[in-house]
Amino acid sequence: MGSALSRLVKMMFARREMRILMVGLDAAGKTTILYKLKLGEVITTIPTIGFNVETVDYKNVSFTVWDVGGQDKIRPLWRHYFQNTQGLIFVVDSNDKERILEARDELHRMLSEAELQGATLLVFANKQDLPNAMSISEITDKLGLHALRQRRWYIQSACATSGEGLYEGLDWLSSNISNKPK
Amino acid sequence: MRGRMKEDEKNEKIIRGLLKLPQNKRCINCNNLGPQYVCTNFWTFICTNCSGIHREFCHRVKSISMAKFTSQEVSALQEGGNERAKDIYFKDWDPQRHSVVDSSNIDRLRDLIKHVYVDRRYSGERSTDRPPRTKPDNPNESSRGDSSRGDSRSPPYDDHFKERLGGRDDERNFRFLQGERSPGYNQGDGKRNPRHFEVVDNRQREDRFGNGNQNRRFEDRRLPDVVKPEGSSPTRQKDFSTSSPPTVRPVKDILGDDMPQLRVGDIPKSNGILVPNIPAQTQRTSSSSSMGSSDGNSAQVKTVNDVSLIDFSADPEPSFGAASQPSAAQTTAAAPQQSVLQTTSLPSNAGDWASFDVVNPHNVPQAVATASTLGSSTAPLSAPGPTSMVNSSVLPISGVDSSPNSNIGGKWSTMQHHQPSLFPAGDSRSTIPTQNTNFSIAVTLAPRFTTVTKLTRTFDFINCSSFSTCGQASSGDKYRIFITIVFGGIQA
Repeated sequence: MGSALSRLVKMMFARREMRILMVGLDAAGKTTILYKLKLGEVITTIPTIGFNVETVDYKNVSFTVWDVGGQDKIRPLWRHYFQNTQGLIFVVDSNDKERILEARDELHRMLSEAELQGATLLVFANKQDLPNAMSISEITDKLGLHALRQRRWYIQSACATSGEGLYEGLDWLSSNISNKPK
Repeated sequence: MRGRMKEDEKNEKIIRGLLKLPQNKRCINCNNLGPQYVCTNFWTFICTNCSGIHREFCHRVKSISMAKFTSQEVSALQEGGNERAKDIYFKDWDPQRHSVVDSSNIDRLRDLIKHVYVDRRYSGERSTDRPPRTKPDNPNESSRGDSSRGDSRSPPYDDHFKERLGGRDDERNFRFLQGERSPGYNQGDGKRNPRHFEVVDNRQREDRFGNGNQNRRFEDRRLPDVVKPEGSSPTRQKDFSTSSPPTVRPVKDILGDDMPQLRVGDIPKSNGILVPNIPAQTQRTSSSSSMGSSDGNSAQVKTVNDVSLIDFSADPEPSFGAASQPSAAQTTAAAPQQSVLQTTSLPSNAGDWASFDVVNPHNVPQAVATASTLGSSTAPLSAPGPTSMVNSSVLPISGVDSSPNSNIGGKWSTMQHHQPSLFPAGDSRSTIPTQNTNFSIAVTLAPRFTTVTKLTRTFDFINCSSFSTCGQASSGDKYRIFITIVFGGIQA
C-alpha cells in the first residue's frame, strides 16, 4: 500500500525526462524556437552547423531538445540523433510554400526510420505571424500528415519570435509521449 | 544518382571558383573575409553573421558547403555575385561616409541589411516612388516571394526598426565625425564608383547644420587653426597618403549629370537631396560643415551662406580661382566681404605649415588680416546691409610662389562674372558651371591641407575641381597644391 502510494506520488511529482529531436528544413526556425523556450527571448541565430542541445523544464518535464541543423547536405546526419528519441518536433516555415513538399519528403523519409517508430510527432507550423503564412490545414495537407498511420501526431501553429504556440506544443508532447523506460 | 552527385560537385566547384573573385572574397555587407553563405534573394556572398540576419528578413541563405545548389542557382550566382549586387543595392552607398559595420555588431548589421535590401535606401531609387523591385536574374526568385515578405513584416517589427534608425543615424554622424572607417574598404569602393552621390536625408542635414553647438565649435576652432596651422600636420600627412586615393574624382564625373540638381535651397522633406559625397576624411578633420548649402543670392537662415571654391592643382600656375562667400552659419545676413585666398603650397614642405607664416612675410599680415576679417565677418554679417566692401587678399600656404593679389572685388554679381575667368579654358578639369552657385558639395580634402580646410569648411561651395586636383596631388605631384579660396560677399 505504501509503496503503491509512493509510486503514485512519484508519478505525479517526479520530474520526467524526455528526449526530443527537433528537425526541419533550414531557416524553419528551429534554433529560434529552442532558445525561445530555453531563454524566453529571441536571439539572433546563425545557420546551425551541427546541433544545439538544451534542456527545457516545463511542467515537471525536463525536455532535452536536440536542435539539428537543417541544410540539405547535413540532413543525412539527422539519423544519428534518432536513437532514444521519444518526441520528434518537426518545424515548418509556414511561409515557405516552395519547399513545403521538400519538407514533406524529409518528414516522411525520417518517419520511415525504424528508430523513430515509437516517437510521437509534433509539427510546429512556424512563422504564423507573417502575412502569407499557410494555414494549419493547408500545411497538414501538404505535409501528408493524414496519411500517417500508427503515429501520434499533432500540428501546432507557432510563432517563435513571439513564443506563441510553443508551450502548447510542449503541453501536447508531455501528455502524449510514451513513457518508455530509458 | 551518380550523375547528380557529379553535378553537385561541379556546382560547388563553380561556386568555390566564384568565391575567388575579388568582390566575392569578402562579405558584401560587413566586409568580412571569406563569406561562406549565399543569399539567394540577391545572389550575394555573405558571412555567417550576415546570413543569420538575412534570415530574419526572410531572405533565403544557403551555405556554400552545406547546401546543394541547382544549376540555375549556380548560373544566377555567376551572373550575380557581390559586384553586381553592389551596383544594385549599394549604388548610392558612399564608403567614405558610411563606416563599415563590424560583423560582430549584430544590431548595426541588421540595420544595414534592412536599409540596403529591404528599404533599398542605397539602390538609387527614391523611397516614395520606388518601382517594383528589380531583381537580379533569378528564375527562382520571382516565384519565391521571399523578398516581398521582407518588406511586409508585421508593424511592430517596423516600428522597432524605425526607432533604431534614428538612433543609428546619429550614431553614424558621430562615427564619421570621428572618422572611423576602414581604409581597405574605402579603397575598393572609391575606385569602383567615382560617380556616386549620397542621398542625405533632412534629418542628417539638420544634425549637421542645425546644430548650433557644432557650428559654434567649428567657428571657434577655425581661426586658431589658421593662425597656428602647424598644429597636427604630421599625422594628417600620414593620413593623407593612406586615405586620399579614394577621393580622386574626376570633375566631369562629379559635375556631370547630377550637378544641376544639387540644390540645397529647397530640400524635399521626404526624399532628401542629392549631395555629393561627404567623405569621412573631411568629416574627421572638420567638425562641422565641409558640406554646406549655398544660395548665391539669398541668405539662408538654416545653413551656411557662403560659397567657396577650392582648387588643389598640380599645375603650378596659380590660375585657379574660386569663389566663396564667407560663412554666415549663425547669421542670416549675407557677407559683405570678399577675399581671395590664393594659397600655393610648394615642394616638399607642403606639409610644413610653419612655412605658412614664414615664407612670404609680406603676405602674412594679409593672411592674418584675412583670417581676422573672416572672424570679424561674423559681426557685420549680423548687420544686414549691402555693405559690399571688398577685402581680398592672398594667403600663401607655403608660398614660394605666392601669387600676387588677385583681388576679386565687387558684389556677388561681379563675382559671378569673374568666375569663368578664374577657370582657364585650357584646363579641362575646371569645367564647373559657373552659374551653379547654389549647390553644395562636400570635398574630401587631403588631411594635410586641413588647416586650410578648416579655414574653408564653413563655405558651402567648394569647387569640384578640387576633387580632381586634390587627387592628382595625392597620387603624383603631391607637393604643389593650390588652394584658392575666394570669400565672396553678396548683397542681401
